Amino acid sequence: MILAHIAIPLILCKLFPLNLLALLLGSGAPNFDAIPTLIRKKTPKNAVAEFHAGSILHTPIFYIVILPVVWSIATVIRNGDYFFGLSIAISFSLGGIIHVVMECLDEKGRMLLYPLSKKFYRIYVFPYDFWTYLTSKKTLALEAIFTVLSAVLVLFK
Amino acid sequence: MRVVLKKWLNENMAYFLIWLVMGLVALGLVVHELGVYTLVAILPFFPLFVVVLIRMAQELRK
Repeated sequence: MILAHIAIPLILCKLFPLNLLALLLGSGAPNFDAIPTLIRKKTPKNAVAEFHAGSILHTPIFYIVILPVVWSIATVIRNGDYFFGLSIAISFSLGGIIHVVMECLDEKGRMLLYPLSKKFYRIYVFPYDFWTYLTSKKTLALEAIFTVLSAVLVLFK
Repeated sequence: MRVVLKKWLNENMAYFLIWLVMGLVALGLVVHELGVYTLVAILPFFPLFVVVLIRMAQELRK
Protein backbone atom coordinates (compact mmCIF):
# COMPACT_ATOMS: atom_id res chain seq x y z
CA MET A 1 0.00 0.00 0.00
CA ILE A 2 1.25 3.49 -0.81
CA LEU A 3 -1.49 6.10 -1.17
CA ALA A 4 -4.05 4.01 0.74
CA HIS A 5 -2.07 4.87 3.89
CA ILE A 6 -3.25 8.46 3.35
CA ALA A 7 -6.68 7.71 1.86
CA ILE A 8 -7.84 5.28 4.58
CA PRO A 9 -7.23 7.77 7.45
CA LEU A 10 -9.12 10.41 5.44
CA ILE A 11 -12.07 8.00 4.99
CA LEU A 12 -12.06 6.94 8.66
CA CYS A 13 -11.87 10.52 9.82
CA LYS A 14 -14.99 11.38 7.81
CA LEU A 15 -16.94 8.36 9.10
CA PHE A 16 -15.86 8.34 12.78
CA PRO A 17 -14.91 11.02 15.34
CA LEU A 18 -11.15 10.48 15.03
CA ASN A 19 -8.24 12.91 14.84
CA LEU A 20 -6.94 13.06 11.26
CA LEU A 21 -3.41 14.23 12.08
CA ALA A 22 -2.94 11.44 14.67
CA LEU A 23 -4.40 8.88 12.23
CA LEU A 24 -2.00 10.00 9.50
CA LEU A 25 0.98 9.97 11.87
CA GLY A 26 0.01 6.50 13.12
CA SER A 27 -0.49 5.31 9.57
CA GLY A 28 2.92 6.63 8.57
CA ALA A 29 4.81 5.44 11.66
CA PRO A 30 5.36 1.81 10.51
CA ASN A 31 7.27 2.98 7.45
CA PHE A 32 10.11 4.46 9.49
CA ASP A 33 11.67 1.00 9.21
CA ALA A 34 11.91 1.60 5.45
CA ILE A 35 14.58 4.28 5.98
CA PRO A 36 17.58 1.85 5.98
CA THR A 37 16.35 0.45 2.67
CA LEU A 38 15.52 3.83 1.19
CA ILE A 39 18.93 5.31 1.92
CA ARG A 40 20.43 2.05 0.70
CA LYS A 41 22.31 1.10 3.88
CA LYS A 42 20.95 -2.44 3.73
CA THR A 43 19.97 -3.41 0.21
CA PRO A 44 19.04 -7.07 0.02
CA LYS A 45 19.09 -9.03 -3.25
CA ASN A 46 15.61 -10.30 -2.50
CA ALA A 47 13.14 -7.45 -1.86
CA VAL A 48 10.99 -9.62 0.39
CA ALA A 49 13.97 -10.13 2.73
CA GLU A 50 14.59 -6.40 3.26
CA PHE A 51 14.42 -4.73 6.68
CA HIS A 52 11.24 -2.83 5.78
CA ALA A 53 8.13 -4.45 7.28
CA GLY A 54 10.26 -6.88 9.25
CA SER A 55 10.67 -4.76 12.39
CA ILE A 56 8.51 -4.21 15.46
CA LEU A 57 7.10 -1.08 13.80
CA HIS A 58 5.12 -3.36 11.48
CA THR A 59 3.46 -5.34 14.31
CA PRO A 60 0.05 -4.56 15.88
CA ILE A 61 1.38 -5.11 19.42
CA PHE A 62 3.64 -2.06 19.09
CA TYR A 63 0.62 0.23 18.61
CA ILE A 64 -1.24 -1.37 21.52
CA VAL A 65 1.76 -0.98 23.86
CA ILE A 66 2.41 2.59 22.75
CA LEU A 67 -1.24 3.66 23.20
CA PRO A 68 -0.94 4.64 26.92
CA VAL A 69 2.33 6.45 26.15
CA VAL A 70 0.70 8.53 23.41
CA TRP A 71 -2.34 9.07 25.65
CA SER A 72 -0.10 10.42 28.45
CA ILE A 73 1.92 12.68 26.18
CA ALA A 74 -1.18 14.08 24.42
CA THR A 75 -2.92 14.63 27.77
CA VAL A 76 0.07 16.53 29.18
CA ILE A 77 0.36 18.64 26.02
CA ARG A 78 -3.36 19.50 26.26
CA ASN A 79 -3.12 20.50 29.98
CA GLY A 80 -4.72 17.36 31.46
CA ASP A 81 -7.52 16.85 28.90
CA TYR A 82 -7.81 13.04 29.19
CA PHE A 83 -10.51 12.70 26.53
CA PHE A 84 -8.50 14.66 23.99
CA GLY A 85 -5.46 12.54 24.87
CA LEU A 86 -7.45 9.33 24.46
CA SER A 87 -8.83 10.46 21.11
CA ILE A 88 -5.30 11.17 19.87
CA ALA A 89 -3.94 7.86 21.22
CA ILE A 90 -6.77 5.76 19.73
CA SER A 91 -6.44 7.54 16.39
CA PHE A 92 -2.65 7.04 16.32
CA SER A 93 -2.82 3.35 17.27
CA LEU A 94 -5.71 2.65 14.90
CA GLY A 95 -3.73 4.26 12.06
CA GLY A 96 -0.74 2.02 12.79
CA ILE A 97 -2.76 -1.19 13.18
CA ILE A 98 -4.78 -0.60 10.00
CA HIS A 99 -1.53 0.03 8.12
CA VAL A 100 -0.12 -3.31 9.29
CA VAL A 101 -3.32 -5.29 8.67
CA MET A 102 -3.85 -3.86 5.17
CA GLU A 103 -0.29 -4.80 4.21
CA CYS A 104 -0.99 -8.44 5.03
CA LEU A 105 -2.41 -8.54 1.51
CA ASP A 106 1.07 -8.47 -0.03
CA GLU A 107 3.57 -11.19 -0.86
CA LYS A 108 5.64 -10.67 2.29
CA GLY A 109 2.88 -10.58 4.90
CA ARG A 110 3.32 -9.11 8.36
CA MET A 111 4.18 -10.42 11.84
CA LEU A 112 0.62 -10.13 13.19
CA LEU A 113 1.20 -12.26 16.29
CA TYR A 114 4.60 -10.89 17.31
CA PRO A 115 6.01 -11.45 20.02
CA LEU A 116 4.15 -14.79 20.30
CA SER A 117 5.26 -15.75 16.80
CA LYS A 118 7.69 -14.33 14.24
CA LYS A 119 5.70 -15.83 11.39
CA PHE A 120 4.66 -13.47 8.57
CA TYR A 121 0.92 -13.86 7.97
CA ARG A 122 -0.44 -12.96 4.56
CA ILE A 123 -3.30 -13.26 2.11
CA TYR A 124 -1.24 -13.00 -1.07
CA VAL A 125 -3.10 -10.60 -3.36
CA PHE A 126 -0.50 -7.94 -4.23
CA PRO A 127 3.20 -8.04 -5.14
CA TYR A 128 5.74 -6.72 -2.62
CA ASP A 129 8.49 -5.53 -4.98
CA PHE A 130 8.17 -1.75 -5.53
CA TRP A 131 8.45 -1.71 -9.34
CA THR A 132 6.12 -4.67 -9.80
CA TYR A 133 3.68 -3.06 -7.37
CA LEU A 134 3.60 0.18 -9.40
CA THR A 135 2.62 -1.65 -12.58
CA SER A 136 0.09 -4.07 -11.11
CA LYS A 137 -3.47 -3.40 -12.29
CA LYS A 138 -4.92 -4.90 -9.09
CA THR A 139 -2.95 -2.59 -6.79
CA LEU A 140 -3.62 0.43 -8.94
CA ALA A 141 -7.36 -0.33 -8.93
CA LEU A 142 -7.49 -0.74 -5.14
CA GLU A 143 -5.41 2.37 -4.48
CA ALA A 144 -7.56 4.33 -6.95
CA ILE A 145 -10.76 3.16 -5.22
CA PHE A 146 -9.46 4.35 -1.83
CA THR A 147 -8.23 7.67 -3.28
CA VAL A 148 -11.50 8.39 -5.10
CA LEU A 149 -13.59 7.38 -2.07
CA SER A 150 -11.56 9.63 0.21
CA ALA A 151 -11.88 12.52 -2.27
CA VAL A 152 -15.66 12.09 -2.47
CA LEU A 153 -16.01 11.97 1.32
CA VAL A 154 -13.71 14.94 1.91
CA LEU A 155 -15.34 17.11 -0.73
CA PHE A 156 -19.00 16.18 -0.19
CA LYS A 157 -19.41 15.06 3.44
CA MET B 1 14.08 -6.63 -9.75
CA ARG B 2 16.39 -5.08 -12.34
CA VAL B 3 15.01 -1.81 -13.73
CA VAL B 4 16.34 0.55 -16.40
CA LEU B 5 14.63 3.74 -15.32
CA LYS B 6 14.24 5.45 -18.73
CA LYS B 7 13.04 2.25 -20.38
CA TRP B 8 10.70 1.55 -17.47
CA LEU B 9 9.27 5.07 -17.69
CA ASN B 10 8.75 4.79 -21.46
CA GLU B 11 6.99 1.46 -21.10
CA ASN B 12 4.90 2.44 -18.09
CA MET B 13 4.25 6.15 -18.60
CA ALA B 14 0.48 5.67 -18.11
CA TYR B 15 1.00 3.99 -14.72
CA PHE B 16 3.49 6.70 -13.72
CA LEU B 17 1.06 9.48 -14.61
CA ILE B 18 -1.87 7.83 -12.81
CA TRP B 19 0.25 7.35 -9.65
CA LEU B 20 1.44 10.97 -9.92
CA VAL B 21 -2.11 12.32 -10.24
CA MET B 22 -3.39 10.15 -7.38
CA GLY B 23 -0.48 11.29 -5.21
CA LEU B 24 -1.22 14.94 -5.92
CA VAL B 25 -4.92 14.37 -5.18
CA ALA B 26 -4.05 12.70 -1.84
CA LEU B 27 -1.70 15.57 -0.95
CA GLY B 28 -4.38 18.08 -1.93
CA LEU B 29 -6.97 16.34 0.27
CA VAL B 30 -4.66 16.35 3.28
CA VAL B 31 -3.84 20.03 2.78
CA HIS B 32 -7.58 20.72 2.35
CA GLU B 33 -8.34 18.98 5.66
CA LEU B 34 -5.36 20.02 7.79
CA GLY B 35 -4.43 23.34 6.24
CA VAL B 36 -1.36 24.67 4.49
CA TYR B 37 0.80 24.07 7.56
CA THR B 38 0.85 20.40 6.50
CA LEU B 39 3.32 21.44 3.82
CA VAL B 40 5.55 23.01 6.49
CA ALA B 41 5.46 19.69 8.38
CA ILE B 42 6.41 17.77 5.23
CA LEU B 43 9.21 20.20 4.25
CA PRO B 44 11.91 18.79 6.65
CA PHE B 45 11.53 15.38 4.95
CA PHE B 46 12.16 16.82 1.49
CA PRO B 47 16.00 16.51 1.66
CA LEU B 48 15.60 12.81 2.63
CA PHE B 49 13.27 12.36 -0.33
CA VAL B 50 15.91 13.88 -2.65
CA VAL B 51 18.63 11.62 -1.15
CA VAL B 52 16.39 8.58 -1.67
CA LEU B 53 15.73 9.49 -5.31
CA ILE B 54 19.47 10.01 -5.99
CA ARG B 55 20.39 6.70 -4.30
CA MET B 56 17.69 4.83 -6.22
CA ALA B 57 18.85 6.32 -9.51
CA GLN B 58 22.50 5.43 -8.70
CA GLU B 59 21.53 1.89 -7.78
CA LEU B 60 19.46 1.39 -10.90
CA ARG B 61 22.43 2.49 -13.05
CA LYS B 62 24.70 -0.23 -11.52
